[in-house]
Amino acid sequence: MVMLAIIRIGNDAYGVSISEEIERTTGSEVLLGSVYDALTRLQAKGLVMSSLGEATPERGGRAKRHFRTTSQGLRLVRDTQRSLVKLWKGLPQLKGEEV
Amino acid sequence: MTLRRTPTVATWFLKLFCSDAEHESVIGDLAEQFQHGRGRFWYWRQVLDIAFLSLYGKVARRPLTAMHRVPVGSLFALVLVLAALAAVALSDVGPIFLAAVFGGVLFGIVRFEQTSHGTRSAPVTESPAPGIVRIDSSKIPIGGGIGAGIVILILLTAVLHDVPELRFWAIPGLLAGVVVAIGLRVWRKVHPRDMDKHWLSLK
Repeated sequence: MVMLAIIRIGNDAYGVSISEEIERTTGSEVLLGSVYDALTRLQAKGLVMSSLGEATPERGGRAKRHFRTTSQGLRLVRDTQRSLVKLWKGLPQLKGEEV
Repeated sequence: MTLRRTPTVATWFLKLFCSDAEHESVIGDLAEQFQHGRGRFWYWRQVLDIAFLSLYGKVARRPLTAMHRVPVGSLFALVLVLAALAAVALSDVGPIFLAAVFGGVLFGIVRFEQTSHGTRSAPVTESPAPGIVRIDSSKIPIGGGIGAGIVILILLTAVLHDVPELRFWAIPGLLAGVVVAIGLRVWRKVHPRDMDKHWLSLK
């Protein structure tokens, strides 16, 4: 979910924008700490990379950490999508048919 | 535009648990959201969540908890417990107690690794020089905790059974422990790169 949010946002993907994107699409509240926890693990696995951005007064002079997916991350997202589509196909319960 | 002041105690609390550079951007994100109208309750909730996850990450995801490191820690604890039992059971406790405890400490935290065997923490191509001594710094808190527990046990035994030799050795032992702890802290400050790998290297 975090990786999809990063891809959707594009260049301005950082903690706040990622959590807002997930909140917008899922409709449920997301804790910033959980997003950063996931981002740290994704970065350790080489699926996303980060770079420091600009520091603004409203951020207390602290820089933003921008995230973007690596080619390995994009490949994994595509593979996951293909697997999910395969699993999704032919499920009568989801078509409103009786089991 | 007038900036609101972020909750001071919450920010201090966050810095207390999450002092690394990685968390600077998190604090910035929280401040930004707070300026955009989020409340103090929201801020505190986020801070507690981040602090909890950070602590969990430090405790649960450290290599110390990996199964292959457990036997070394367990043996270290076992040797120390045996040393304490020996100290209590034997009449002439001084030298035996000292030998057993120092043996346990050496066995538990110091590992001599030769390049010919390869190292667990570094790839074979980047192996250190032969005969390097490595101390696993991630075990120090647990080793220290176990050591403190053993010392307390010994002191209690010394008081209960009135064994003067134990009291004699316990005090310099405690002082030596304090000196070693301070030394290790200084070492960790001086060698931050080694800290990242959870190892302290001595050549």
